[in-house]
Formats: sequence, C-alpha cells, structure tokens
Amino acid sequence: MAFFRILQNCMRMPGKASVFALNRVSMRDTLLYIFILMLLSSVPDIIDLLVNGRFSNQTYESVLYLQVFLFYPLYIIFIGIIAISLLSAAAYVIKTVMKRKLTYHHLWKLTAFSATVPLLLNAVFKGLGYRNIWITVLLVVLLFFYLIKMIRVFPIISNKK
Amino acid sequence: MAYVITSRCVGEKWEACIEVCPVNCILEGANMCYINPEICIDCGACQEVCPSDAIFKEEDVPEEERDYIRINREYTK
Repeated sequence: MAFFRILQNCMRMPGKASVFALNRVSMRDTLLYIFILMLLSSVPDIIDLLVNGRFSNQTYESVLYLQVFLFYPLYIIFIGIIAISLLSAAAYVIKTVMKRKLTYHHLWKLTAFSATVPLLLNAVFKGLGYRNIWITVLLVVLLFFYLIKMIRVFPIISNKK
Repeated sequence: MAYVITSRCVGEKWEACIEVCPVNCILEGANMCYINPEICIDCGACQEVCPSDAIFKEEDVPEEERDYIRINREYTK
C-alpha cells in the first residue's frame, strides 16, 4: 500500500535514495498520506476528548460523537494544510538561500514528508502526557533539520543549458 | 541511470518538467523536450509533473520507445 511505502521512505530520510523515491510520489498520494498521518497523530487527542467529554454532564453524546469523528478530523486536516503551506513558504526562503532550484509544489511535498517523524513523536509525547511549548519548538526544529537535509540532497543551481 | 522523455511528449511539450528540474537538464526541442543523461541526477521530479506520462526511468522505458534513450542522448550532446 502506498501509505506504508511512503512511511518507509520517510523513516529512511534524509538519504538521497529515499528523497528521490518520495519525489516520485504523486500529489494525490501525498495529500492522502498526510491526512492519514495527521489523523493517527491526533489519536491521543481523540481519546482525551471521548474520555473527558463523556464524563462531562454538559455534553450531549450525539454532539460529542459529531465533534470527535467529524469536526475534529476536519479541523486537524485544515490546520495541517495551513501549517504545511506556511512551512513550505519558509522552505522556499531556505532553498533560495541555499541556491537550489525547487518549485513551491515540490517543497510542499518535501515539507509534508519531513513532518512525518515530528508528527509521530508529537503523538507519542501527547500519549505520555507531555504537552508544553518546548516540545512543540523541538519538533519544529526537527522538521526544519529534515527539510534542510532534504534540500541539500539537490545540487546547487546551474544555469548552464 | 537517467530519465528519458518518450514519444508521448511529441506535439505536447507541456514543459512542466523544465520548470521543476532541479539541475536544468531538460532542453526544449522543436516538437518535444529532451533530458540530458549526463546531467540528470535521477531525482524523478519531472516524472511526477508530466501530464502526458511521457517520462520514464531508463530501465522502465517501454520496448517500443527504447529508441528515445538514444534520441535524448544525441539531442542533448
């Protein structure tokens, strides 16, 4: 299945072979991959919502399920797309500084793939009950570390035709 | 191993590949585009964006299109 093939390559990043294999992943598969990944990484939050929401007297059960299984995943996907788009803009600046020729669409995909490990670590930290701003900062730094390593895989731009 | 542009590009020439190639190894010809195998780093960025599905890895080029391996090489010499 495409999801596991992409995940396997993301785990091998930032090696040249895995970056090039990820280049060949279509945009449709990239979007599907990031949706699944974000839903998986939000499992601790969903459990938290179900457990704490169920025991709250003020929440109707049907509203709770609607919130947990419809609105929350949609919210996560929306936030994810916005975050990746903004991080890709930062990656665009990085690639300009590093003199690489990479398009925004290409950088969007690289950013989505480099978010794999930080997203999974985020889920683990949340599951263990560690939630603070420093963990978020650490994960963003990790994402940029992967992103820079991936951009470095490509050679410096050559204008020779 | 490099990538090869095949007959599906003839008359189409969308040029999306030229835009995304990180090493500028794709040249625009009169009827189609050509990949310089000496410069191609095998990254596959061009294959994903080609709307005509005209780009293949050298070892995956269909039998009837294998002539294009030579055509790409000769045009970009």
